[in-house]
Amino acid sequence: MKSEKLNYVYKKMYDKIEMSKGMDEILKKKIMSEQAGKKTARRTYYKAGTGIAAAAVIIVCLINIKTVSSAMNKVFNYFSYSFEIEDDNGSSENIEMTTKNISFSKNAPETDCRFNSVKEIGDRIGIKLLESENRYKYDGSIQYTAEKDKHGNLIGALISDDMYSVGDLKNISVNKGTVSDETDLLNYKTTELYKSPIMMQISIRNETENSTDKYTGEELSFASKNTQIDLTGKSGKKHNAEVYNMKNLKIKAVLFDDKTDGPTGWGYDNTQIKVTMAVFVYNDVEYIYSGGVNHETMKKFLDSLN
Amino acid sequence: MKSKMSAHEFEIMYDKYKNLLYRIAFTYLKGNQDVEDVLQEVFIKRMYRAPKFQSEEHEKRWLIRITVNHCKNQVSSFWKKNVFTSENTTEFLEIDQYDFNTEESELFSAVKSLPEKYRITIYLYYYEGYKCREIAEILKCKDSTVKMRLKKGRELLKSDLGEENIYEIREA
Repeated sequence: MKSEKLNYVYKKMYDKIEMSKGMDEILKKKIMSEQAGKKTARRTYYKAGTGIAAAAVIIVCLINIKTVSSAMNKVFNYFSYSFEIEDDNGSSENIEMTTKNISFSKNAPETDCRFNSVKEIGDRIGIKLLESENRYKYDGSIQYTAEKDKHGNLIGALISDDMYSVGDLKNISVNKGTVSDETDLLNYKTTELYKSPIMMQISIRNETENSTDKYTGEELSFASKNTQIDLTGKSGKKHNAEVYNMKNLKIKAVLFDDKTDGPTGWGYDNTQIKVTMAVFVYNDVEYIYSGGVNHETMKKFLDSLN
Repeated sequence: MKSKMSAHEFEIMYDKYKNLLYRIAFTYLKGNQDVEDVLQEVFIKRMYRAPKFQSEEHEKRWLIRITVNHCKNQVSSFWKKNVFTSENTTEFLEIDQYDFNTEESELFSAVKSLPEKYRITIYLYYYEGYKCREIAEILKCKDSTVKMRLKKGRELLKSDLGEENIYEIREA
């Protein structure tokens, strides 16, 4: 490509990027339905894996939403999905993850804000949340995101920290975002055990009679955010999934591998690293941890939660 | 909640901005389904919760800003980024979807490999023609941040496309 043409090519390229006719029709139809007062689903929440190959580790995600009727509308009071994990011998274990709506206290924050610990957030919401004794502390490290419906009702919360545990990372310093929309960045030197921090995401749904309209609760869940799940066959084996019985909490977590550049705070722009992800539900709340560590290190981290 | 627009007004607004917002969402997101979700939310927000606009440009910038926010929310969840990219999925935005020639395909690949903060800044600057100050206003960040992102984005494109190709891109 000749240099003088680059601007021109950039414009021509973007001129060709247009919404497809199919998407145009679907989108318009959905929005018009919304305008007519009909509820429209944002997406299909279920994609089951098929074609289980022998001697492979497989996760199949199944989603089941139970409903109860209230006087005026349907309220989804719990949400469940399951992992089916098959070992090399062909025997499989089904791990069901069920999260339930929790009644937030009146003190629960209704706007996005930052906290110094997960415990503080738990105190505000009125529930016990798990904290690790090995977490990395700095001012305002824990992000609390208030999930609201379009009427402004607090329907849930997402609690996250991209640098929740830094393990044996060396030479650590935090660059706090200079503008409001920039996340904090961690500078660090990797080690044999930790190739990145372990990040945390906790999803909690608020039990509220006002949770109407489009909100059904499943938006705040690992499974609903993974509609591309298809870890069968070779893909399943590649993810090296296993079930771990957490020693302190006496519950089961599902661990598996993936490759990702992680959240911005890790500083891995464009470079993918291998991470271990851990998913479990404790006291009706979903916890997800992920970091550039192996399964054994992740298990040790999980056992530090209480 | 009552819409602030009639169906006819909506259609006019939708047709005017659908491709602009599609391109914005496209610069952030990898899947068609994600793009569709975001645009649905943005247009619904426009119908029900938009402020009173002083001009068309005001409306356009508001829509860009809202789309950017929704896209950032969509990608900010760690597991949304790359966790389950099934190899045989048909839902992802593919190069074949657009009628690109070789040059455009080459540039498309280079642009898509840029981190999102550079992609959106470069898009607003080079395609929409906004100035750094205007981009800073839309993205709610400092002028210096925009300039830094343009510089870094150009450097990344330069290393991807080859040394000589990028120098003629309009400097910030």
